Amino acid sequence: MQIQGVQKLQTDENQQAAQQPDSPSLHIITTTAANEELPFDVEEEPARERQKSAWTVTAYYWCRVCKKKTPVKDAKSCDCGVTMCNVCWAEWDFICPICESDMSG
Amino acid sequence: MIIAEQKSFDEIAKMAANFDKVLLLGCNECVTVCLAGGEKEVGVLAASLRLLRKQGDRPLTTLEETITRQCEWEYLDQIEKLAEEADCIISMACGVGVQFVAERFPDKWVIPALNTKSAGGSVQHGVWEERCGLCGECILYKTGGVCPVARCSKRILNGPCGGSQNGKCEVKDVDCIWDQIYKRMAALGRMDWLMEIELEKDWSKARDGGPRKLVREDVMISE
Amino acid sequence: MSENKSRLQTLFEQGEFVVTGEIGPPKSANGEGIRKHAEHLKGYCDATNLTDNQTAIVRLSSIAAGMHVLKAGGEPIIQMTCRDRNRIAIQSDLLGAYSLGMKNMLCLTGDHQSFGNHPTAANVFDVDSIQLIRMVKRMRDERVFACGEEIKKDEPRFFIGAVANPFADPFEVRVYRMEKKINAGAQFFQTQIIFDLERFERWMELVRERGLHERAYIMAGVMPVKSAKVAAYMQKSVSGMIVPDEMVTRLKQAEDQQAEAVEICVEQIKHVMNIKGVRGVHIMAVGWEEIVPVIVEKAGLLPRPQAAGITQAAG
Repeated sequence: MQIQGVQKLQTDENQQAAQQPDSPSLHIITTTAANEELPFDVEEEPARERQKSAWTVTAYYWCRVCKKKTPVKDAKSCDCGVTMCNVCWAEWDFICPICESDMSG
Repeated sequence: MIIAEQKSFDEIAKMAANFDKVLLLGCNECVTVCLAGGEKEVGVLAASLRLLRKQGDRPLTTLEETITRQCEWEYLDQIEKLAEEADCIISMACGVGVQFVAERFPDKWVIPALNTKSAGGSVQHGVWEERCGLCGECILYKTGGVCPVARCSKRILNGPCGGSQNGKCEVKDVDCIWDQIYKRMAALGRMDWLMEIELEKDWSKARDGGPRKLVREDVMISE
Repeated sequence: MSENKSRLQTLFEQGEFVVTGEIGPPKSANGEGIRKHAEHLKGYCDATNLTDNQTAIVRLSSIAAGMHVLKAGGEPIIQMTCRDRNRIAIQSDLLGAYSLGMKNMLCLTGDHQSFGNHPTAANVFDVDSIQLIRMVKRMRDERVFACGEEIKKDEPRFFIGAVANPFADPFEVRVYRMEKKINAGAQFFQTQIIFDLERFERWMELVRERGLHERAYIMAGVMPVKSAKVAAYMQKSVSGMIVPDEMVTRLKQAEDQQAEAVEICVEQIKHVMNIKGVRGVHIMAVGWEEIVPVIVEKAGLLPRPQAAGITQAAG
């Protein structure tokens, strides 16, 4: 099973490479400057900065009811401490089951 | 590999003081390579313990065995008979091995003979250094293959701190790893990567998130 | 040196049945709510817990909150957890809190950060609650820092509290751990919220068997459960707490659920008052703080006693 899978992956990879002859190398080093000076004064295009947040910090809550890790945008935490994913909040009609705060906003 | 170091002889002798027949169990993996708990060390420790106890009025019988891996039940099964004979097992493996032995032989008292130090490797004869902090989410692709989590005293992700002096860490006699990271990234033409703010790490994937368990359903054998 | 005891300790020593409340600091930089709460509880509670980032959610610090309580004329019990500080920060905070006039310290290990709003945070747990208790005690009685270095003058002299959970497992171990906390220096205990009175009574039996009730002041934790909905939520989703079905049913069937909730809580308080070894009650009215005075009154616990030699008002 696994060997077949690997073979398939390799075939896919070869096909891709054939279609995109100019695809970037998999190696990190893409510039040839082997010993360049530290370019502290160079203003770099901060393109990677935008990708960055997706790379590192995963902001999530732990839903207290379904015990699932949920991205912050899909969860809410009431001031009194009740923290649930929006699916579980819906079960309580977005009214906090402990302090009755309105969490629909 | 796992780096371990033998506990002091006095400490081991003290832990074994109440037993008359002990099984010294070595491990053929990491601890053999780092000269802490392989066949040779088993022999030396067994002889030293016997010698010490001969001087007192309570001689000690030792059984010696070294198995392929203590962290796998398959190999522990092979020493079942031997384990039965002994009052206690002195495991000369890392902390993982000790616990597998304890789980496999629940009615036996188990003594750890080693202190488990780190995940690392040998950099010269007789010197082993830590390399991996087992943080659960590898960031080596951002730091030129040099790990600040394991090798920076403050595990800083945007280093180096002000305690870096001539390439050395002020905390202890090791290289400032951020000095190394900078040099390496510069050499690779990747200084711009280091100018970006590395954001807070997800420590829940490290030990901070609680004991870790890896499940791979694709290789599990279902009933 | 004069003892300069806290109001809480003085009341225990006078043999009073003590009432404490709890204020959860806000998720903002405004202390007004805390001061209002403290004023609201004045005359009804003898002292008030200030939680330390409870359930690992970032909140106004417990020591700063304690300052607001002091300003409002109340008596704070500062909660100190081991999750976010190492022994250096903890000791520093102990010095700071005492310098501000806080005299009661409740030592806990703290909820794991994965439950809070920063689940990816690293945790500290440099010391655990028992080591923390011992640390606070040694600073007071031996006048040393945790490392053994002498505190040359003005050591913090806290009345040391701890928590006990009769509803976690294994049952017997709960009592051993409590004894360990007493051996480490705990002088008073607040228990987890009690709904299952029968189990609490069995636990108190074990406590008395080991004579622990004579070595520390034990306060029973109670919580007024506002409605059947709250009870159902707690039954389903809050671990370490046993909510009996009868309570849920009773609330559900009541015409006025809030009045019934007060009634149940008052019954519970009267019940625990009669258990030998229970020296007070800790009311945790999470999400329903305004009801505390009503409960205290209905339980027949008014007026609150005066602490000899202490003019400070209750709170």
